[in-house]
Amino acid sequence: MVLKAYRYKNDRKPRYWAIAAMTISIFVTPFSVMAAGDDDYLSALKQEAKKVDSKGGSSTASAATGDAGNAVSREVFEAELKDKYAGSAVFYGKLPASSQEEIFLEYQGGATISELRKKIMDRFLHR
Amino acid sequence: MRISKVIMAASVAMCVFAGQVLGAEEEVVVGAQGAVIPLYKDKPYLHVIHKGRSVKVQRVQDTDFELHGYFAKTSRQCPPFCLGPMEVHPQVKTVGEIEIFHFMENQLRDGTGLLIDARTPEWHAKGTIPGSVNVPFTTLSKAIDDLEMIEALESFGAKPREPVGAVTKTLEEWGVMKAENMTDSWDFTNCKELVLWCNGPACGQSPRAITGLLEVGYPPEKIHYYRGGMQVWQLYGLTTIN
Repeated sequence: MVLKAYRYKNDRKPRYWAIAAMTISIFVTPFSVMAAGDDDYLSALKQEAKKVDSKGGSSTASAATGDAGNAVSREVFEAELKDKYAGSAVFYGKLPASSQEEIFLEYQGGATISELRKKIMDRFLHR
Repeated sequence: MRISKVIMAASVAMCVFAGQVLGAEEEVVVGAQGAVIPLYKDKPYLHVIHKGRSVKVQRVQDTDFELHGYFAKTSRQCPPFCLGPMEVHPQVKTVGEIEIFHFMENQLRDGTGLLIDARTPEWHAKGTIPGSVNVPFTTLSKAIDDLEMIEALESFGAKPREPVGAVTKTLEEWGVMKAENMTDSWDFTNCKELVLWCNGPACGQSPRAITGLLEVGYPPEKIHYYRGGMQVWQLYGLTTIN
């Protein structure tokens, strides 16, 4: 009777473990496979990125296109304004140096040309 | 006094009108007769702010120029670098180069949009499209409660919401309270318009980033996908910057 109970106990134990192990594996496996997939993709990307260096492809176009990366000088800004918006350039020319500086700084900061033209008129009309 | 004001307003209007007419005449001649190869018809170049500096975006002016190097390659190992579909999601618009130029001149300058280089930092460091900011797809694929994702969403203009109560939620569901572009945890009402790009049609980095953004509730109509990416950008000899 004791032996039977012992056997029964031992027979049951592995089943609990098996169920527990299966349950864990069901939840864990997809995540680990996903993580492994992501890792593979990231390492493939890393390897591929090295090829850009060795062949120097991406810099070719930027070198060929000339003045990329140069900050626009005030002269260039004023020349562009004169070229495209001669009217605004006339009023800009009549502004005091401090207002001109302010408008140029706004241009460098990324203000749109319509904003700048409005600002020029505002400053000119003391609004 | 009133007459002088009218005269002044009329002269100002005349000067502005004359300026616009003059400006149109004085613009750089482009196309077949001119020496300039424009970005597109009647648009020789544009300026975009990149890391606080103004950068001129234009095409390579040498008609004999040929692309060499990595982005001139026709094929890459597939998987993982397989050609992707034109559409990432039915509601996310796929855009081309001209839409990017317009985006640069409008939403980027106005601060209502962001051009996102969704590649990993090592790719970004080797050259990018001017005006782009690097937000890698690895960040945009994170869970909604991950700090990196939270920081990214905040930088895109989304606002975290206070915990939404059951009453508010019900009223929102019934349409009594405005809940458009809102999730339980984020308010996307004033979020920026995004254009995401990566290495080109065979690159999965920006599609993954877009999928990640959609999963956290970013409005699809505010996301655009530039499928051409770095490869097509360079194929047309457009300015890149390191």
